[in-house]
Amino acid sequence: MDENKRFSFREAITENPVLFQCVGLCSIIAGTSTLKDSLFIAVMIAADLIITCTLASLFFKKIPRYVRIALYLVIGLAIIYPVLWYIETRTLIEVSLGMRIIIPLIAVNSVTAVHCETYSVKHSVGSALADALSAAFGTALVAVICGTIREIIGKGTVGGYTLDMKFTMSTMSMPFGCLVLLGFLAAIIKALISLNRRSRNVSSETEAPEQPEEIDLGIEQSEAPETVDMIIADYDDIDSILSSTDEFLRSLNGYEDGGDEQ
Amino acid sequence: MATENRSANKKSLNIFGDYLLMLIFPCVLSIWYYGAAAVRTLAVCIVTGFVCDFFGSIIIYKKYYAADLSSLCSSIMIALMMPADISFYIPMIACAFSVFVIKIPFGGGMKVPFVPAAAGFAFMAACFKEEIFAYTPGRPFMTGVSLGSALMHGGSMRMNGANILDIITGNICGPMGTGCIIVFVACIVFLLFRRREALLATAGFIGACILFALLLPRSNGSRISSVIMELSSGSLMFAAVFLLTDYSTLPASKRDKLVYGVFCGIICMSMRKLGVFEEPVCFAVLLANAFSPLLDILTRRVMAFITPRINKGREVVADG
Repeated sequence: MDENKRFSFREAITENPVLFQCVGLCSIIAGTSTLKDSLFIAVMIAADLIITCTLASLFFKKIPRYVRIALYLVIGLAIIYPVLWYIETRTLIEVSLGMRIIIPLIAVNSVTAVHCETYSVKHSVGSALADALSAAFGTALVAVICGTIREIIGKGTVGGYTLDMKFTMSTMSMPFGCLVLLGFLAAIIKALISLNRRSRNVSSETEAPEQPEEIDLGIEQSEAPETVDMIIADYDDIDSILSSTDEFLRSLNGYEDGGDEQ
Repeated sequence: MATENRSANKKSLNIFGDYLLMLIFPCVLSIWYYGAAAVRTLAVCIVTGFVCDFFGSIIIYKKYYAADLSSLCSSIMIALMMPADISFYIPMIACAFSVFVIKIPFGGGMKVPFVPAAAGFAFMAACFKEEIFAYTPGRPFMTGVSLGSALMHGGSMRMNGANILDIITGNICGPMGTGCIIVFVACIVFLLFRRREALLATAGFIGACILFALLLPRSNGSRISSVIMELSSGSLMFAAVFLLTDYSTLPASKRDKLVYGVFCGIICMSMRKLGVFEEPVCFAVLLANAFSPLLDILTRRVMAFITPRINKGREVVADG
């Protein structure tokens, strides 16, 4: 792994925790039926991930693993509970009943646990923070995309504003709809990545420098060694190769036995 | 590899060719009962299925195989389970869903873990419940209320001896091509010659439904009339013949096929009795598909537990 990791937009997409590592699916599926809820989820996950990963990198390196996992949960709750309390008591933001159930569950989301355990506790604070930022950005992006599409198709609204749609599909507001959507998002990004790779390969082939002309130094070149294909072509089929190998091994064993006896 | 593909394509052509042949009869009947509306719904489904399959193959860089009739069969099945005068976009989305979400991601009609037609219909039933189960009579002599709706809402319903012919010929309100029991009996006879083992699932399913209808009737008439009405209503017989016998989702062994059918029948009748949908057979098929591997393991364990004990009992009886 890269010791001096930096925040990378590319990594947030190509190594997306939700789409390709399949972590943190529960909160994304349950909590992103509308754009507003998905923004809320995205901010909470990002805050939890960044703070927990930084703390893990700073203080948890010498703590046993089974204790660390519990500590991530405690830190998650310590971050999320005051924010939720503040929003509910001191602001006019309306938090739905579903979100009140889902938000505390973010404390135990697997994105944080996976990134803390696999990266943060093994690397420096800067790298851990960069990794957490990438993961948080990727997760938030997926949450917002899912929330927007699900709200448009499922309810015919976006951010609360009603769109003029002829029909809506309420199934998209259900968890099943989000699973299908995540599958399609993963497939689209995978296709884009492979397209990008293919175009890079093509461009590198076309831009490859021309080989210099061979200079005849007047030295006789030795014959090219026979390739494996040529050797195999001498045999009729694979069975004959195997039987000859078997015979060869047997003869080796016989020699060794004889040597031992002597 | 090429030879394998060729043989797989040939197998697919054989299996789905049989289904296509069987689907002709319900299609003809639906056109007879509902006329132009049925033709329009069928055409919309067939065209959508073809277009989605063709473009789906292009998107995933796979060669489109014109003789792969799986998407055509699924599209026709979806159309036959819909009301004839439904808005065109509903069967369209159902067909697109069955191809893009079920068929293409799982590698084609012979590898799908869920019946594509059932998945497409169930998705639309969950989205557009009112439209999917709003049946209108196709001909003036048709009765105005579907049997499924009557069984669901009317506890005092009785079967009239005079209209039994209408019931078994599909001359009642309902999905446009799933009402005529006689056609499905003919299809079962056809399958008896072509794919006998697949009928074990059908037998298990119908057996479970009959038993359920006898024990827990939804109508106030006799128990026999309850059985006839349950079998004739909605898409139950259609599902027994076309959805349950789907090649890719059917378990391998005979015992598992029977268990799969019985499980699906129990789920279907329980959902009819307790659920909110008038016709939940597609949901039951999907649930049975999902539980199929688990059922396989469970049946093996039960058999492993029972068989030695039965053998021991036999030995004891033989010893005297």
